[in-house]
Amino acid sequence: MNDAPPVQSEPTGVSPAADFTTFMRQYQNMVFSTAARLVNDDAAAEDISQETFLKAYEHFDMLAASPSAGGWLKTVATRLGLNHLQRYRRRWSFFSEMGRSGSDGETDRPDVEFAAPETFFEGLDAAERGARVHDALAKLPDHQRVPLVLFHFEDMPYDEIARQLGVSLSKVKTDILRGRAALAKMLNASTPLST
Amino acid sequence: MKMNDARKLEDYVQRAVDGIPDRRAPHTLEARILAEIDRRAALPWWRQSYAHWPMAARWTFLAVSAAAAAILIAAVMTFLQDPGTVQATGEVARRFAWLGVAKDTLETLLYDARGVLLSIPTLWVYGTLAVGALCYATLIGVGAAAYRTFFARR
Repeated sequence: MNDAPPVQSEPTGVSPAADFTTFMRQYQNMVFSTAARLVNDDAAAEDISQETFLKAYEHFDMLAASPSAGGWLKTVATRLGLNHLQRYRRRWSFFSEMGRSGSDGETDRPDVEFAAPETFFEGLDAAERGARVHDALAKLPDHQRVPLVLFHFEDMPYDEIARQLGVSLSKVKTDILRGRAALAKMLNASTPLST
Repeated sequence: MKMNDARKLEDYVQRAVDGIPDRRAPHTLEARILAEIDRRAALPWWRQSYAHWPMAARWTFLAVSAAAAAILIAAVMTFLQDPGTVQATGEVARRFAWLGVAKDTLETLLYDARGVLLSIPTLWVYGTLAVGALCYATLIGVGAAAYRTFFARR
């Protein structure tokens, strides 16, 4: 996933360049948001953001002038976030996924029915909508939130998500579908505040 | 709008998440990163990862490692071919003769234990195994229930 060129910089003995600080300020919200959406833990997201920027500092010669620096940072933050989740998951997957519905072999299209009012989008600015989406995402279980975030925020296709998470394609589709239904239901429930 | 269609649900969620602003990173993040960069930069080169070593140091390290390995192999070969080694080996064997006694004792104990085990009726063995498996399954079940009750977000 990380196909960056080998380290070329020699940071020893010099202070971080001012342009790296500017670079960091430009992207830190994006990197932190990417990590926080995945791991659902602000402290862990801050650690992941730090690790991402430390890697960026090692490759800053290449990234400074690159128009794809944002994509590079997002990719690294996503990979580190998934690594974090995998480490955690190894300890708990047996208990958390044992007998869980929606596992392999079940239907790809569980019956989902939900009345989605257009009123959710009315009278809400992007910031308020973002806060509600964030709150709703935080309430989703990991096995629904992670693939949902990868699909809708990182534009990752289903098969790539399945590969990254090490689960079957049918489970990814089922989890995302159920995650969407749960998310939509929560957003719907948060609507009465407006208008 | 009734959304019993997965495609509409997907569009609805995509519309909800499109264009939402990023969350603000913690104020401490920038200072943490800069401090860590300074800390790493202050480390001497030999405490950094091998990839950060100067090229001369890398080649020197490789050469010294190869030389050390060659010397070690040569020393072992010389030692094994030396006539005094056989005598030294005998001396060591005498000092550790008690290990042979311990081995004989252990073998006797294992032989007796085997005899005791073979004299146990088969039904008792299967019963004990079944009780053990039941206890293990109960432990797993209680653990899963506790995890789901207290930790898992559903």
